[in-house]
Order: sequence, then C-alpha cells, then structure tokens
Amino acid sequence: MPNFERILCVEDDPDIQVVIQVALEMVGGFGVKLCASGQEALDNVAGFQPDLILLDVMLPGMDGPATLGAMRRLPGVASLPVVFMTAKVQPDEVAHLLSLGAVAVIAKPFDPMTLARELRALWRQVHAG
Amino acid sequence: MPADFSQGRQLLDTLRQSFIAQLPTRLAAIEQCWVDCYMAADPLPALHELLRLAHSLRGSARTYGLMPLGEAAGDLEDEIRPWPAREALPDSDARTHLDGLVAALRRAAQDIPGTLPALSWVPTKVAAQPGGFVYLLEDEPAQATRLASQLAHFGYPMKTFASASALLEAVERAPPVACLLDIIIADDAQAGIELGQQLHRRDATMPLIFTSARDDIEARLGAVKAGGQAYLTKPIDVGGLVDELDRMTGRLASTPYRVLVVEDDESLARYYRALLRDAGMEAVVESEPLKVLHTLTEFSPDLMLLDIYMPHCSGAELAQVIRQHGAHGGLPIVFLSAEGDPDIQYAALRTGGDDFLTKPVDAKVLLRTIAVRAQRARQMSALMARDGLTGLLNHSRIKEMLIAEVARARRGNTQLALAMLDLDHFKSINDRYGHLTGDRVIKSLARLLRERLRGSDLAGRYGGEEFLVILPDCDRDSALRLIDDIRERFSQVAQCGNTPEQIFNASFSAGLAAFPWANSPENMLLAADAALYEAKLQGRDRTR
Repeated sequence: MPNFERILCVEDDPDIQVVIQVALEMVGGFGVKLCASGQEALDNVAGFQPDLILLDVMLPGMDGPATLGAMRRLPGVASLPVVFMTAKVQPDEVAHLLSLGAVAVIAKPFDPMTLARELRALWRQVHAG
Repeated sequence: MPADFSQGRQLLDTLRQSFIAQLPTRLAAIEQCWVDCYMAADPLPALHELLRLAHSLRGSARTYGLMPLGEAAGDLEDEIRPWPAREALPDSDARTHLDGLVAALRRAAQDIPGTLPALSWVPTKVAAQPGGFVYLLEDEPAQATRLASQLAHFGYPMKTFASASALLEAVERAPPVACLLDIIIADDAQAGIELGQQLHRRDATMPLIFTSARDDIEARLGAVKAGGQAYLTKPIDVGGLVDELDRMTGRLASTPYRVLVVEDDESLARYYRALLRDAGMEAVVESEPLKVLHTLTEFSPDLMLLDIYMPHCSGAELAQVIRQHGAHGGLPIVFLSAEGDPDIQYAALRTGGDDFLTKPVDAKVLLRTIAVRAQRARQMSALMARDGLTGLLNHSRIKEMLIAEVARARRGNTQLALAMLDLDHFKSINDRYGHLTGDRVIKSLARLLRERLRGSDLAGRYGGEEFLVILPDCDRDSALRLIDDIRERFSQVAQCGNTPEQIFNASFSAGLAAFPWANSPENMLLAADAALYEAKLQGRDRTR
C-alpha cells in the first residue's frame, strides 16, 4: 500500500479551515495544503503532490464538482482519490457525488478528533480494492 | 501516525473558546447587515453579505459542535436565500419572520453555557463510498450462503456475521452499503430491533433493511421506529431486495445527460463543451450546421444547444428542419445568442425552440436550464419508449434502435451483435405459479440485463417473454460470452413462487446474429430468431 502523507484540502471558510488544519496536521500527522477556492487548488495540486484531495462541495465560484472535473484533466492528478465534504448528505446528493468519481463523501460537520482516522480507513479500503 | 493527539484536543478547545468569544462581534455584523438591507439605497449588496454571514456561521458553529446555534443560523440562511436572486427586499410578512429568526439566533448564542463541558463533537460520518459490502446478520449458514450467492449476481457482494457484536465491530471498521437484519436474533424477539436502533443512532443515513417471517403491523412499526428503510418478509424475494438496494444506494442512477452543441465559433464551442463535461454531462460539438441531422442520429442527445447566427442557415431555420424530421420532433432545443430583441427571440422560439438564453450566458443558468429540460425530456421519452413492467425499451423503440445501430455500423464499418432471448417454459411457470410470479421472473431477467450490460448496449422487451439485446462494437464471439454469462447467472437466481416452499429456477434460450454477416435490420432479426429456434430445439437453456 502506498504511503499516505499529504492531503490537499479545499475549503473556503476560515473557521473550518483552521479546524481541518488541527484535525489533519496536529491530530492526524499529515502534511496539509489548504486552498480557499477551486482555482487555488488547481494552481497548487501539481506542486504539492498530495496523496488525497479533500474537497468541499459548496465553494464560491468554481464549486467542488467543477473543481473535480477540472482536476481530472490535469496530468498526474487524474487518478488521485478525492473525498467530498458536504452538509447535504441525502442519498441522491451522495450518489451524485460518487458518480462524479469521488471515492467517498464525508458529512459536515465532522469530528476533528476522528477525521484523520476515517481518512486512513478510506485509504486502506481504496488500496485494498 | 498522529503527531500529538492531546495537544490537538487542547488546541481545538481553545479555538472553540475563541470562536465563542468572537460571537458577539459576528452577531452584531449580522444584525447591522439586516438593518442595512432596509437603509441602503441599493439593498442587494447587504442581502448578499447577510447570506454569506449566515452561511458561514452555520458551518462554523456546527463544526465547533454548537448545534443549536448552527441550526438557528441555518434557518436564517434558508429564509434569506431566495431574496437576492429575486433582487427584491423581503416583503412585510417575510420581514417579520426574518426579524424573529435574527432574534432567535441571538438567543441561541446567549444560551451557550459559560463553561462548556468537555469537547463533544458529532462523530465523523462517512456518508457513502462505492464498492462496499452489504452486511447480513444471519446465524444460519445455509441461508446466508444462499442469499450471498444470489446478491452477488446483481453486483452486491455480501459479508455475513453470526452475531450482533461482530457486525457492529465491522461497521466501525468499514461502513457497509446496507445492513440486512432479521428482527429476531437467536430467539430474542427484540434483538434485531435493538441492533437496528444502535446502528441508526451511529449513522442515520446507513440503509437499514429488516427481514422477518412476521408480517404484522407491530413488527413493521418496530422496524420503522428503529430506522428501517425497507421491510421484507421471508422467504426473501431477491428481486425485491435488489430493487430496494438499488433505490437506497442510487446504484442504477441515470446516465449523464447528452448535449449536442451546434456552434460555429470554435473557442465558444470548446468553452461550452468543457463547462458541460465539468458538470458531468456528455457533450459533442458540431460546428457545421449542415451535418446536424447526421450527428443527431449518431449521438442521439437529450438536448441541443443551438447558436442563432451561423453560416449557411440560421438556428431558427435549422430548428424548423429538425422539428419537421419525425425522429427528433421531441428533442428540446435551447437557443444561444447575443440577440436581445424579444421579437426576434420569440420568432425563434415559434419555429421550434424551447428556450432562449442570451449570451454571455451565466454558467449556472445554462447548466440549470439544460438539466431541467433534459430531465423532463427524458421522463417523457421514457414514458413513451419504455416497457411498463421491466423499464426496458418497448417493442417499437428497440426496433427503431436496431435500425439506427445497423446504419451506424454500416457507416463506421464497425461490428454489431444482436441477441434474441426467450424465457424457457414460461407458459408453465404462469400456469403453475400464476401471472404475478411470471411477471416477477420477467422483471428479474430485465434487472439482470441492465446490471450486466455496458452503458452503450440496448435492451428491450420484444414480446411477452421475449427480449432483444443490441450490442454495438461487439463481435459474435464476445456477444456469445456475454449473453452466455448472463444465461448462466440467470439460471442460478432463485425465483420465488407464492409460498415459502415454492422456490424454483428459470432459464432462457438465446439466439445471436452479427453484422455484417446479417446485413440489414430485418436479416439480423431473422438470423437471431433462427438461432433462438435452434437453441430451443437443442434442449433450451443455451445460447446459439
């Protein structure tokens, strides 16, 4: 199984950004790059070389699904696992997000103390199957 | 590995305290913004800002585990959301209501206790992930094996657990796509319900299916109260279970919308195509209006985007040509143009367009317009083209598709295979178990066809118990392997009669034809029919 060390996270709300940073860097021990918009993520993804992308669905301008679509066309990024975060966890919405090629959907709000653990469990499942 | 767990917790606690300390400032900003909406000469910027502040507070309050505050901010956000788009201030009724919501938000903030108990967050919830398992709690191995092998045919791998604790442990490790529980576990009449409640408390979105030999209202009510989303009586009808799983997991969700963009400006065409593909739709661009009829037949889109001003002909003229062409009479056409004159827009719509969008088109408006129109067109054509029992294409539609696919194979010099399937001894199934059971057998074959075929393949109900499957870009050998694999799987599906004892297997025979050996739609049907006859003669349950 490949190493799981770096996460690129796209979230526009500064309050949630800081919680994610604590949850993933301090509690989870990951290297984290925070981006506040889809465009910023597109600009940084190749340079940061994340193992996984954590992507908010509702973003100003280019939203999460559009960002995922644009990323899929970047060389070397197309196959990165993407996990969506959304407050709307109705089955329709979740099925739609998965059909776009996300490996999972995480409900907001999340528990910062267990977020990293859940992502590691997902990582194992992605690489087991 | 975790760098510093306890330090993380302390820091989060500090962050939450500072968030609470800043709350009065944030609330004051919301209240000021609400006042500005009615004081400013242009209320729109204030409305937008109010929406942003409420949305942000909703997200951050919930993130810090302050649920009542998050809910209050959410109520405010939901109530304001429609107004900026209407470019109007809330009317007096709505204003009174909003005054109340702003006050409720203030109260929710004041209700936060001065000293918070130890941090408690909503558990992180992985709402869904693909490729998971269906978890079954079943202490009888034979029953479990039977169900597991049945479900596997329909693309739902299953893991079986013999005890509630083993199942709970597995759910903690990796959430399933659904849990299947008997309401009675090891002679305890309530154990299944209690386990269901426990699972539901952990994750209210997890699909929970109860099974039971009981069919009384008390048992069903107990299951509903425990969060059960489906209730199946034993013996379990696998077809019914698969339908429920499909519904809960959105597995057979619709295929992406197909949009044909007719636009001669290359850079604009590229932009539209990228935009549509980003939104998960399939898009094809045709830059030469005179080739549109050909492309329509090839691509068969759900909707067409049409530029009004093009060389050779106008969009309105082209729309008229398409409307006069019987095959595409129902295709939604959306005009795109910089033309702002309402008279010209109306004239264009009168010739056969459904909508008119003025360039430059806002991306969201464009996508929403396409999605709404394409969805409705699909619903309409599905009603007209689908067989009511199976959801497959009906007789005339599958024949039309065969004609189109043969034409396409001829033009592109590609291969094409056709299979004709017929259920074996169907009359005696009807005679023995009744027509309802017969219908269930037909549905189970239709369901298996949809599951096993590629997105580009087409399946239709050709007659009572007869089906046609069109396999584009497929040679005879590949078609034989595919159809024979489906035949093999179908013959293993346990069909359910009217009583628990009536479990039986059904089978079908199939005949194949391949283009270009059979060189027209009629000849393909004749060849497939002859092969089917041969399969029946040779003893049925085989592919020829």
